Amino acid sequence: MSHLSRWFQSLTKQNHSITSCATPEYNCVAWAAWETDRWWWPDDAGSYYWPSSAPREETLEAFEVAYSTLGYRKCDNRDLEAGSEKIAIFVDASGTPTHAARQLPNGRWTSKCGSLEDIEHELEGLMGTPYGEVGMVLKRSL
Amino acid sequence: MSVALTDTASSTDAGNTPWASATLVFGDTDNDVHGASESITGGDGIVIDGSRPAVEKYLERAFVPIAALLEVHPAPSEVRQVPISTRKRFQELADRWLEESAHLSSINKMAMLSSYQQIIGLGPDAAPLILEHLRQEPSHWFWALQAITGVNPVSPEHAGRVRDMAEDWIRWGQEHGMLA
Repeated sequence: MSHLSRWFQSLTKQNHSITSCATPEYNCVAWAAWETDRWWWPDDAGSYYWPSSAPREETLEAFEVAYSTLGYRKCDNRDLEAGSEKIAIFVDASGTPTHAARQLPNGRWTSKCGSLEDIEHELEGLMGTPYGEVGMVLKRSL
Repeated sequence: MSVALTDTASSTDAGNTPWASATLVFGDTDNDVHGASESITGGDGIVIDGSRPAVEKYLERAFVPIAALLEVHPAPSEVRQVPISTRKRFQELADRWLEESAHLSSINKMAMLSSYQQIIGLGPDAAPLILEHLRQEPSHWFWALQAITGVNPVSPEHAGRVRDMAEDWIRWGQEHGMLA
């Protein structure tokens, strides 16, 4: 059991492993987009990076547009598909995006947990409190 | 007229402009320089003629960094002082916020946490404390700083780049007497 279980009750020793050091320099949304040098978020103050063509709001639609700038399109399942890469966007009970995870070639997922570490995990390991459920899946061709 | 400039500093400022390092004595006429040859080599290696206008122009350019430096970095007595009780309260709230926000990606959610809002509620005294914290360990204090000070000195190209954002704020804090 890692210290991350303090925040994520569904994480177990079996369903995740830590793959980086903790850092506040990038977040899950950036990590899903393969970036490690800036924090992506449509914050109200406009201080953080967000693709200029995407609405600066915390909605699934805004996240869909943001990732579309990198070639991702909405899809209807989270299954591993040869030649594709998928991103799962988590939402809380009110439908507000909370988190993004990127699928790995082995079918597991990789996430940056806020300012904490990157982990490799089963998708279910981050479901529930506090990130909620998967609200949308996007994919792009490799 | 006799003007002696004996600047012994040999360090460079943030703009990497070396100080001039010369002793110059102006003569009685505007165009004479006694004690110097026809041409003068400044501390930065620039060669100028010995006329008074040329020397004055050189000195003006060379010593601007000193004036700028004095303006940017206030003396310790001029840095905003914060009561110990406020400092202690800030540290408690900051520790709590860092723990509560560690797993969050949403800047909006981070800023809405009670501990963060209470830090903003400490008012102007919180700004130098946040800047000190930021200098030790970059974190997401930018919303609070903007709320307290009413400004955003982060350049657009630094948006989301936490270390660069922190450096922009620290520079602003030094320029405004909040950090030594």
